[in-house]
Amino acid sequence: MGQKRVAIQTERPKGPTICGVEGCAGCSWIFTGLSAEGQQELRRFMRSVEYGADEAIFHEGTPAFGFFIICNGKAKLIKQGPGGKRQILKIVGPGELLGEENLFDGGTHSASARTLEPTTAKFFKREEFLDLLKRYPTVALQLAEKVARELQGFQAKLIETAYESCRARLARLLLVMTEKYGTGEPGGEIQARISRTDLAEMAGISTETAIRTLGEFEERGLIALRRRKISILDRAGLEELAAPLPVETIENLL
Amino acid sequence: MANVHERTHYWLNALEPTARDAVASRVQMLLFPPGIEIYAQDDSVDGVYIVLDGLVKERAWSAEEGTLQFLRLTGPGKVLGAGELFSEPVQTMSALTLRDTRLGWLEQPDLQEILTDHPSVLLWLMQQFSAQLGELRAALVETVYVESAARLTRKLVEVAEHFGERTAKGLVIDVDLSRDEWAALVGMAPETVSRILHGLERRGWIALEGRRIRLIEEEKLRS
Repeated sequence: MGQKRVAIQTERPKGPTICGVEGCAGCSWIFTGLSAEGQQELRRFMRSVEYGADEAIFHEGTPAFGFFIICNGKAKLIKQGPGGKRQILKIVGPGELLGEENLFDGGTHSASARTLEPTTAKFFKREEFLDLLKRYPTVALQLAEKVARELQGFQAKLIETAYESCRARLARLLLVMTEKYGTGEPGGEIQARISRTDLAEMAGISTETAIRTLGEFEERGLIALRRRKISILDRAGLEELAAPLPVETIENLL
Repeated sequence: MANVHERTHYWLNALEPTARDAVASRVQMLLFPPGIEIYAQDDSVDGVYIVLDGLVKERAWSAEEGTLQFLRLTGPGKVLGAGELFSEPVQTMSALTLRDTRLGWLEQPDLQEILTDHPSVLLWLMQQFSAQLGELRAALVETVYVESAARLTRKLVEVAEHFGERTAKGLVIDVDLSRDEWAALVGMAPETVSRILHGLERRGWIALEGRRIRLIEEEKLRS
């Protein structure tokens, strides 16, 4: 059997800064190519919202009035399972969209969103944004591509959850997280305060299994654990553990 | 033209009149008998197919081992191959007809033009993506937290309700799916599927008649 490799697609360059705030790193790539006039229009109807750490942004099953762009901080998208159990679908950080998948069905939020740390976001009303999409097809097509990629990402995650071991899933999750939130240096920490329960709910395993498996990874010298921070020490070793399923685009999984 | 409008009513009605006319003038009607491959995994993407009547199974195999990993049943009102149109140069799944199936096909250049000129068509497609995304996420949570027997039983009832036929002897799933394909539909090993199905048969809740499955104790299966 050939060597297992985990292909991680690099993140796309950010799009323009919709908020217009100096020093902002920019918004999602779906806004790339949006004219200055279009950006101005978006800016006119956005509303700033601030949340503390571990605060609800919206709840599953409640009416979806629009979507958010995260400016600072991070939030998790959570789906309820049976018996109060939860699955974290993804984590979104600065420049990324939250709640955009419910823009088109006009119904209710299909998942809940909660902050991981103090978070600032811009809120955009559904009707106003859909009207803008009709006038700026480039953004609409890029948003379609984003949702289509997310579909493929979740299909891959579903296959992974059905057929892969807990160890492989956790190894892959850590690799994706270090790619997205790592310092970029070997042995650098993942720059996100993720609890063991959050990690378990992202990988679709029990908290006990997550704690046990992380301990095993640490013993094998693959990672270092320090409270809520995790550092990847042996990337190749983790890649070896992650089964040969490709890791889909980062934005789809985290 | 009236015929095209009638055949595509599932979704044309949701569009603005000018968009509806643009789609109706470009859509090509295709009729396939059962067992015909509409496209294969890794074929280049040539447009989108709207299922008007009939039933299609979409299947994905792993690149490395060639094992069947994912299966989805797609019926009237749903689109095939739309996601790939925006994100991939090739089809990520194959599509094969299970029954006499009528499709509306929009060839890629025509569709691109329609999407640019009539954004409401794009928003309609996005609605389809959102629905599919919702289904995948729900399936993900089920796969993590619901045990295999309950998951397969739920799927049997769901498939029977959507694509089954009510007979005097119960609701019958007459969909040509092998055990491997049922396994890919619910995300478990074929051996597990066989064990659970035979267990349900021994209890007298279902009858396995070749590839047909008859639900006998519907209420018990639903509970």
